[in-house]
Amino acid sequence: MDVQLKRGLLDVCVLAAIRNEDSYGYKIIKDMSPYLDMSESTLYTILKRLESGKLLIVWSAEHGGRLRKYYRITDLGIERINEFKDDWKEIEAIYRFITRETNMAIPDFNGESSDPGAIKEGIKND
Amino acid sequence: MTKNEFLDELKSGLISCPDEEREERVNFYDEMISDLMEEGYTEEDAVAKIGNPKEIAAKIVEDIPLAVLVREKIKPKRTLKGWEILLIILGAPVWFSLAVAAAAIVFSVFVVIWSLVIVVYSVDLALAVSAIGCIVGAFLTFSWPAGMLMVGTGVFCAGASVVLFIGGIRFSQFMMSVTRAFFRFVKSLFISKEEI
Repeated sequence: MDVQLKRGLLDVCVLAAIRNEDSYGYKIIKDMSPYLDMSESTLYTILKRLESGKLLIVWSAEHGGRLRKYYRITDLGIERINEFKDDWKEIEAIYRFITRETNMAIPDFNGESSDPGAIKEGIKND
Repeated sequence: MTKNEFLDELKSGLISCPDEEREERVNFYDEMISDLMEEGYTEEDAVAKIGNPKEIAAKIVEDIPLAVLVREKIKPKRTLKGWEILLIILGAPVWFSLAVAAAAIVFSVFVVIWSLVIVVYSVDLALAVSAIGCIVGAFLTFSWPAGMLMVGTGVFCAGASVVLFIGGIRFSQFMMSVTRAFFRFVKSLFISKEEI
């Protein structure tokens, strides 16, 4: 996948993982694991980037005799998630356009829909 | 491998990083392993799940900008004593010229690599110009044999320039990867020496 696109996606994934409640490193990875595998170093890099962009803040709390870092989303972070959702609608529209174009380009071997009108009909129906 | 062994290896792999960054990274992995163990993993399994500390450290260092590594490398690990500062100043003619020489070597390697690319494209341009010149010139020659010879030469030059242009693109891509490899090599000079 395109690096830039993936980077943006993963940023939002991590923000979503701390959207409802503050979370910590291991829990973020575990919560995301049904959907995507993220390595610890990747998570670290993303958390750093989000922190320097003020999309989240870090605080520490004692847990079982050691310090654990918790990450809390900021208003800016919530805004980023919403922006992403809006962008996604646009991406979906583009995706539909791309897949339609590609479907049309596939040659039809039955020869049934060699009539361009038939192809257009087919698109309208789906 | 125990957690402490993992963290020690990670730490020594990150020796060329700024102290603060190294500390923070190590703490991050410390927390990860502790959380995995809390989840029910044995220490061995938790460490294995995170991966190989040497590889992780190598990857982290690869992503750090060269400038940061160099700054870290030349930063003294402790405050310098008066006589050491004096020595550095007195030794300036030596170490400064050595530093300039090192930088010049690195720079000249880049120049050599990229002048090869420029040579290929210049030859290509020369061929293209001769092709046009020959074909145009052929019409100005009022002699059949000479005209035919010039058209033939012109077509040959045109063909050769197209082939060379395609080759040139491949060649510059190759040189790009050579440059990248060289840059990695220069970077490794700053990394590997301090590795334990």
